[in-house]
Order: sequence, then structure tokens, then C-alpha cells
Amino acid sequence: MAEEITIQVGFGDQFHPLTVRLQDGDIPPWQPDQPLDVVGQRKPRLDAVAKVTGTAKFSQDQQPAGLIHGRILRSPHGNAEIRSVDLTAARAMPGVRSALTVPDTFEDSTARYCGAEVAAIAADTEQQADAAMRAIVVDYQVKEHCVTIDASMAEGAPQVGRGEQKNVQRVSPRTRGRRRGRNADPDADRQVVEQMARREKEVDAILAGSDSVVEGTFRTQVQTHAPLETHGAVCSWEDGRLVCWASTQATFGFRGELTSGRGQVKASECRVLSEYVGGGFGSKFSAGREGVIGALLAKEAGVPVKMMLDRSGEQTSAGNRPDSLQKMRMGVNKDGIIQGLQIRSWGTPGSGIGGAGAHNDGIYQLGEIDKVEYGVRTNCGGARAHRAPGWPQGSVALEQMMDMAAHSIDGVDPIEFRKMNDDHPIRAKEYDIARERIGWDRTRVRGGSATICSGVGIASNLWFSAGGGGASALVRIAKDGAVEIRNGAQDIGTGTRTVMAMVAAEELGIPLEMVSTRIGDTNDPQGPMSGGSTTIGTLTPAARLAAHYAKKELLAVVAERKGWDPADLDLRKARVIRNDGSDTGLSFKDACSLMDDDAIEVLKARPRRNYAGFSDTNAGVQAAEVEVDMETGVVRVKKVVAVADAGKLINPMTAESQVRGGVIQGVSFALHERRIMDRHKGRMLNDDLENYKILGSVDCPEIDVVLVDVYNGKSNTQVMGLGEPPIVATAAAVANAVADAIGVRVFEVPITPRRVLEAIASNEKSAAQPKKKGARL
Amino acid sequence: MKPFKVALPGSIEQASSLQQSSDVPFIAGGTDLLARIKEYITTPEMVVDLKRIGGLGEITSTDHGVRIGALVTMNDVATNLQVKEGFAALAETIGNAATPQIRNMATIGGNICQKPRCWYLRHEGYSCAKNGGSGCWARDGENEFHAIFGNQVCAMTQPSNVAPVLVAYGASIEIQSSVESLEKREVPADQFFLTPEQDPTREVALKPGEIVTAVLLPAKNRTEKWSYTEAREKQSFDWAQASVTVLYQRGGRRGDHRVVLGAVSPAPLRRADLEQIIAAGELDADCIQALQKKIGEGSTPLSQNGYKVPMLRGLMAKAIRKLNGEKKEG
Ligand SMILES: Cc1cc2nc3c(=O)[nH]c(=O)nc-3n(C[C@H](O)[C@H](O)[C@H](O)COP(=O)(O)OP(=O)(O)OC[C@H]3O[C@@H](n4cnc5c(N)ncnc54)[C@H](O)[C@@H]3O)c2cc1C
Ligand code: SF4
Repeated sequence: MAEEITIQVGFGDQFHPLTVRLQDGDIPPWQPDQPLDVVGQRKPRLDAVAKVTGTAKFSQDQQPAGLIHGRILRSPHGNAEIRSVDLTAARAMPGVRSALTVPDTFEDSTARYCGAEVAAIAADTEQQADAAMRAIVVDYQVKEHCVTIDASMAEGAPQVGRGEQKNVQRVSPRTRGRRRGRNADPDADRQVVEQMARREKEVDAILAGSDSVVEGTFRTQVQTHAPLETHGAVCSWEDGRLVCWASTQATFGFRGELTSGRGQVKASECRVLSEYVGGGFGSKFSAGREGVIGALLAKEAGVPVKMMLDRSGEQTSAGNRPDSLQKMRMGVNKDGIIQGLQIRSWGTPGSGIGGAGAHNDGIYQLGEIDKVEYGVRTNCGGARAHRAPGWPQGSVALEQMMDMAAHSIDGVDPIEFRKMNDDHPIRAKEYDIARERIGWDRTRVRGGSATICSGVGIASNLWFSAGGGGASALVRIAKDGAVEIRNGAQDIGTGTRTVMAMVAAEELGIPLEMVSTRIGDTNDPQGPMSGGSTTIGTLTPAARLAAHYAKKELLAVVAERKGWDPADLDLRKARVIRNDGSDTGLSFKDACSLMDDDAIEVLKARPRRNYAGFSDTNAGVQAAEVEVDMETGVVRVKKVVAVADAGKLINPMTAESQVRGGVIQGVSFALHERRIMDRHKGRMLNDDLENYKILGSVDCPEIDVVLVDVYNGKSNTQVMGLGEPPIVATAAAVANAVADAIGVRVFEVPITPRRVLEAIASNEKSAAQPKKKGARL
Repeated sequence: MKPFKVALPGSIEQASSLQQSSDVPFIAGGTDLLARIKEYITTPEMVVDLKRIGGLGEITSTDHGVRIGALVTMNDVATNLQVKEGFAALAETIGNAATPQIRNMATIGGNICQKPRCWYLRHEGYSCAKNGGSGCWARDGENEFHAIFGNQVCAMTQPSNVAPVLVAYGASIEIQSSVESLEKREVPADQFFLTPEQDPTREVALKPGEIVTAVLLPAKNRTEKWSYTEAREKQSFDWAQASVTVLYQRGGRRGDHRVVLGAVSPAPLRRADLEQIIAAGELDADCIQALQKKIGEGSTPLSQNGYKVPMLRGLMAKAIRKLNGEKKEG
């Protein structure tokens, strides 16, 4: 029966009542005036000690008896067709137990980029596997390649795709029928093109009527995910059943791919385990070819196979964030209101075109938007979702446009300008926090002849997710008082394990130490993939419900044995209490011991729908402070203030850790990370962790995380996503800070010493020439 | 990785005689060699470990100066008092190099003998002038970190941070080999590091069987006024993109000066023309300007590394300001 209740939603001192109709069996969210004992406390993650002492076993660490080693042979050519693969010599090598070819197994004989899988082999030792891999004979038909956006877009560039696929293809606005690589219906396509032309004209007119128009061309680079633990799995067949210890962000997704045909196994006969994961950042949602290969090699060999990628395979073939080329024009009036924005963007997600977009609308009111996005095919490893796919790219361009627009109307303060064009109530507060904590208004040495210049920059983010249905949790209270919460999804390092236990502990009125979490096992209840920042928002309402009903069952047992009224009983601080707060004399353990059965087990599904709540989006603001050495071009990010919100904060400590991670990866994107492709052979030249530079501890800025607790009311735990939002704004804030410091804009990330020096030099050159009227930065 | 044998000789003579050709490399800290073996850039049947050989692991004072045994780790060099007092630029440059972990493993001998980091050379399948083939992939390829001077044959940069500083101090490299009946040979640092024009396949003047046994720092060149400045994108786990070593009045008031550029050419680049500018006047703004004007002379930047010229200008200015006692920036 749907029950109607009134709850308080809001944050800080801004609350208002909201009436919601509870879905069947759901319980009301925690209220602002409700005392909580566990939720909202800073709790070190439950696996912290195991991780720092090395007792935590990742997939990479699994050593089932008889384990042998798999290797994948990859194409050394920028673009090739595989004519034939001969395994004969390789199979005859010492220690070899199984082998396969990609053309046979995946019915794919294209090797459209350097690093594409060609064949695989498993042997007793790593050295034997290496040697055998090198004995595989492949006949390639090598073709011309394009490995950069410019090469692919150039006049007369070799064709990357098949058939009629053009190198450059529009991905948005989309023409119906174009999905799945089919050719568009010419009529529908013509209509879309006509609409686009009309839109362009409309927005052109709006810009022409604006007081000021700024324009810029921005570029962002390809960023690989570079998780510490590479992709892959240890696969073992036992009596026709497959067990995979997988490094994955989606235990059920991994299983799904293996059981959908290629892995030759049924879902009920396949178990995926993933107790600890060494990072994924969006690249580990499926088993991938390596997962399927591992399963097949193990099947043929009859012994377990470890099929984890090496670093080069990881860098070239396990996904990336596409690069972008973005051209923008923004019209703004003197009153500070943005009138319209034109965007043309191109991105290279590999030989396909999916995921090429750069996202930038949704944060600010941008007036009328005319946006066209193109995918550009290159002979490079394919893109995969990368922490807030599309957003950091879009943010780098849009946020710099915001600063340029503010500057163009008599130098309006960039933060004030954003506030004029942003109606999010939470962000309004967050701007002020960021401004104060970064020292926005402090006097600084900027530009000119100083050798070290200092600057500040600001940028915003949003996110959308409060989780969704499709997950269940099981709470088990044993007669001896042991409490366990189970779900089959994974903890990719975000703190899911800890947060699940905290929610259960809160609901059961017991301390966190009394609860353990079992996760990362597809034999346990269904859980979500860790993507879209949905994991905790999806799992915790199920966890809370399961704990709630398990508590009810336990109290019913107590009531029956003692002859008390179950409605008058509750659990708090590991005691059985009455509604008036008085103690019954029974501890939680005493209560458990009254059970007849061995344990109470309650399985609950998460309610499918979310409630209207306070806001559909997270907010978030970041400010960066940089120092730039004008003589060497070296940029140091001194400090990042990250103001973040994620609905109700279950564990501020792990939440803060998420934000720090996002900022670190964002600064790394802003200054260092870049895939370097060799134009000659089409090979990635920095397919390692040496020349693929990643921000290290010495270079890490001070990160000042400020969390805003929001009673969002969207679910019974009111959790919003936090994995992705903290990376959205960082690079943009850094780019704005660099421009503030050196007095000239670097339109391309990463902002390397080379680019800074080039920008300073071009500025000096253009300062010597008369300025074009109306031209901005 | 291809399996290989490890020989553990106890003497220089044994070690030397085990290396008939460069296909049997010596190994010291292994931080460079093992990485190349793992990537199949070199696939030796055997490596000769030098660490059992006595007498190569100490820093000692001699009549002529300071002798650093080839197996002394980079961290031990950087923290050694004799080095810090008389040859502070050496301590400084080593302190900036690589990472603390690497500096704990890496030896000074290995550092000056390490192979170039050119990313073409370190990938299988690129045959070029350096590895016995012909031509250079970097010159019209990806060359952001490559050389801007002397880059016609091979555009590698000498990867050792230490190399330019050794050249500046007039250090010598002590070499022994069983072929030369264990006679010690001392090669001045500026002759030890080779240019591609001298030999594209070798970066240092070692013949098969020759072992670096020590680095010798001459007491007569102890310098009080010095500066070592460099730029690198990241402060740790990275490589310098350019460096400038300046020794002012080597050995005392009457002494000469040295200016040596690092990470911009295949071998450390001593610049007598810049030394003359320093000798000609005061260390003032005019001097800085004159040096900055001159420093790019002779450079032949490639498509992506032209920024190294302004970077050198900036480092040069910093170097002079530092000589003048201005405090460290940044
Ligand atoms: C991420 C990273 C960053 C780095 N950054 C820097 C940096 O900024 N600056 C810098 O200078 N270096 C840097 N390095 C390189 C590092 O300093 C060298 O790898 C190290 O100094 C090599 O010393 P080793 O003892 O480990 O040499 P090994 O790997 O043992 O040997 C290197 C080479 O020298 C030869 N060799 C060694 N000892 C002798 C000897 N006594 N006689 C003859 N031949 C010998 C070997 O045969 C081999 O070819 C970096 C390395 C890494 C991985
Ligand atoms: S720079 Fe030298 S090592 Fe690199 S490709 Fe050119 S010749 Fe070869």
C-alpha cells in the first residue's frame, strides 16, 4: 500500500517540506533532525588495513593450483588485415597448453590499430608464454593508417573504416537509422541537415545581436585509464563450471559477456569473483576480449589460466578518453546574461565513432545552443567510458569560454559571471566557499616580466544520478550475533564495501564493527555495475531495506519470546529498547540468541523509482591556484578547492577520498597525460608508465575538499553519485588559472611547458603587432 | 622477458673477460638494463653482475680529489659530504633525477652508461642509426623531448643528469679491462660521452670488456659558486627537458668558468662561447641578456621541440641569478 509522507529536503539552512508517496514497502529517508549513530561519521574503509598490508588479494594475485600464463599477440601495424595466423610452431613450443586466433574466435580479421588482438597462447611459465607468443606466424596485409585527429580529417586521408564509412561522421544531431553503423535514410538525413542549417542561422542571428561575442578553438588530448591493476582475469574450469577472478567494474556484466556465446558457458555455470579491484575508471564494464580469451584458453588447457594484460596492452587496447577539437562562439550581453552558444566538436574514439562527444550543456543557462558533434575515425585503440565521459573535455572548452566572455564585458569577475548564469541553489553557495578558500581576491603576481606568476581559476560541475532499480541486498543476522550484508557487485576502491556495512549498522542500531560485507561474487544477489556514479545510490536503499526488515524479524522473535509488543521495540547502540527510549535489559546479542533458527536472512530489492526529491542534479564547484614559471613554462598546481555534494553523505571520509581521486586525475589530465602516436608506424610510443606521464605524489597539489550534505529525498538513503563529478571541472579550473597567471590563454590541454612557452612567445609576438578589433584571446 | 643467465664474477678481470661483446652486458643497479630486457630491446643470453666485485662501492679522498666507485648508488653520491662541499652541483643534479626508489638502486656507473630514452629506440621494430640501421625516426616524427643541437644523425638526448655536470667539473672516468691487462685508463668526461657523429651506435667511449670502475672529481676544480638549473614537467618520475650547469671560477678566484647544457643534445654540450660572455663582464642583467641571445645559436630544432630554446634562455637567466645568490625560486 502506497503511503504518503511529508519529508524535509534541502541543505544548510535551506529546507522545505516535500510530500512523497512511498513505493510498496519502502521506508522514509533519514530526516535532518534525526540522530544517526553511524551514517555521516568519518569511517576508515573496512579493507584499509588489508590493502596497505598486502593481504587483500586482487585478481592479479590469485594463484589457483596449476595456474599457467596467457599472452595476447597484438598487431604491430597501424592498420592491417590479418590474412592468416599459423599457430603450429607456437603450439610446439615448450610448456604450451592452449592457443587460439582472433579471426577464428571472434570472426574478426581486421587489425585496425597497432595493438589489436591477433592471437593468444597459454603456457606453463611466463617466459614460455612470451617465447611461444613470439613464435606465432601472422601474415598481415598492411594498409595506410591515420592515428591523429588531424591526419584523419585531412583532405585525401586514407579511409579508416569499412565500406562507405567516412573518416568524419556526424554523431549529433543524429539521423534515425544511423545507429549500429547502418547508413542513414537519405530523406531523414536531409531533414536533419536542413534543421541544422536553420538552427545555425537562428543562433548566428542571436550572436550578431549580442553585445559581445567571444570565440575559441580548444583541444583536449587522449587520456588512457591507466588503472594500476590491468584488465583481465584468472580463469579456472572446475567440473564444467567456470570461475573467473576478474578485475572488473561489473561482476554481472563480466559474467554476462562470457555467457552470451563466446565464453561457451551458461550463466548458472559461471561465477565471477572480484573481491578487490585495482581501479577501472570506466574501462572495465565487460569481460573484453581478454576475458573471453582467458576463459577459452583455460578450457582448452584444462588448468587455470592467468590472462591479465601487460602494460602496453593496457595502454593501447583497454580504452581511453577520446581527444577533442572544439570550436565555440558565445554571445553575451553587457548585463552578463549569456545569449547563445555555437559549438562544433570533433573527437576520435578509435576506429568507431561512439563516445566522441564533448559534453558542456546543463550546468549554465547558455541561451540558445547550436551544437553539432562529429566522430572522427582513427587507427587507434577504441574509447571506453572514462570517468565522466565527455565532460572534462567539454568543461575545458566551455569554462574557458565563460572566462573569456566575462572578460569581454568590462572584465566582470568570473565567479560573479557564473552566478548570473547558473540557477542551481547548491552551486550558488558553493561558489562562495570556493572563492574564500582558494584566496580568490588575494593580490597576486600576474603576467608581465615576473618569473613566477600566480593565478586562480574556477569551474563547475554537475551530475545526475541517484541510482536506480535492479539491485538487491541480503542481510543475515546469525544466532551468535554476527551480521553480514551481501551483494554481488564490486567495490572498485570507492568504499562501497564500507558504506554498505554502515547503512546496515545504522538501520540495525549496532556499531559498524559488528557488520561485515561480502561483495564481488555473482553467486550473491544481483548488483549494479560501477558506472555513471550509480553504485552506492543503487545499492544502499536495498541495503537499508534489507536491514530494516531483518531488524523487524529479529524484534518479532524477541517480542514473541518475551511476550512484548513488537511495535514498541527498536534497536539502538546494540541494545533492544522501547519506543520511549528505555532499555529492555536485552543486548543485540541477547536478542539474537533467542532465535530458534540459525539465522535470519532477508533479501530485499531496491525500489525501482526515485522520488522527486530536492534536485535532480548534483552541483559542485572547483577552484585551482597555479604557479607558472614564465622562464621554463612549468606549471605547478598549488592548491585545488573542491566543493562537492552527493546527496546525503554516508561516509564523508570515503566521499572525500573520491573527490581527491577525481582532482588528482583531473590535474593529471590538465598538465601531463597524453597518448603519443607515432605517425610513421601508427604505434603508441608511450604505452608505458614512464613516458605516459601521470601526476605523482610529489607534484600533487594541496586538495581542500569541502563536502555539502544534502537531504535530497530521492531514495531512502538520498545518495547521489560522486565517482565522476569531481573530475569534470578540475582541468578547466587549472586552465583558467594558468590564463589568469600568465595573461595569455593556452587553448590546449595538457598544458605542458612546451605549450606555455609557445603561448607566451605568440603573445609577445602579437603584442608587437596592432590588435585586431573585436578579437579576443 | 627472455630468460638469461647471471654471471657473478668476483674480480674486474673475470668480469671483463666475460664480456667479449656488448651482447653480454654488465649489470649494476639494473634500473635501465632490466627495463630494456623486459621490452625485448636487448635479449642477452647472459648478464654480468658487477656487484660482487670489491672496491667499487666507496667514495674516497685521493691526492687528486674525490674518487666515487662505480657501484656507489646515486643517493649515496647525493648525500656524501665531500661531494656536497666541493662538487655541490653534482649532488644537486642527482637529487633531482628520477625518483628516490630509483636513486637507491641506480649506480653512478650505470647512470653514465645508461642507454638513451628515445621512444623509438625503446620500442621493438624501429631500426635506426643508433641500433645499427640507418636514418632517424624522431627527426620527422614525434620529437617533443629530443635534441635541438647536434641532432642530424641521431636526435637522442644524453639521458644522464650527471653527465653535463661531470663535464663541467672536468671529471674523469676511470676504466679497466682485462684486455688492456687491467691497466687503468682515465678518460676525461668530455671525451667519454660520444656524439652520433663520432659513433652513432655508442654513447660512451667504452670498448667490449671495459668496465667503468670510478668517477674521479679533481680537487683543483672544486667550485664555490655554481648553479645547476633544469626544467622538467613533473618533479618526480620524469626526465629533465633541458638543464644548464654553470661553474663560476673553478678552483678559486683565478679559475675559469664552465657552461654545459644538458638534455638538449646527444652528448653534454659545453659552450665556450657562453663561458666567454661570463668571463667578459659582471654577472648582471646585461650578461644575462647576452647569454640569452647567444644560447640558441647553432640549434636546429625539430617540429615539436623548438620550445627548448626559450626554455634554455630561461634556465640561463635563472642560473646567473642563482650565482648571484638569489634564493631558489618556486
Ligand atoms: C622513471 C625514471 C626516471 C629517470 N629519471 C632520470 C633522470 O631524471 N636523470 C637521470 O640521470 N636518470 C634518470 N633515470 C635513469 C636512471 O638514473 C638510470 O636507469 C640509472 O642511473 C642506471 O643505473 P643502474 O646502476 O641501475 O644501471 P644498469 O641498469 O645496471 O646499467 C645501465 C647500463 O650501464 C651499463 N653499466 C652499468 N654499470 C657499468 C659499469 N660499471 N661499467 C660499464 N658499464 C656499466 C650496463 O651494461 C647498462 O647498459 C630515470 C629512470 C627511470 C626509470
Ligand atoms: S633519435 Fe636516435 S635513437 Fe631515436 S630514432 Fe633517431 S636515430 Fe634512433
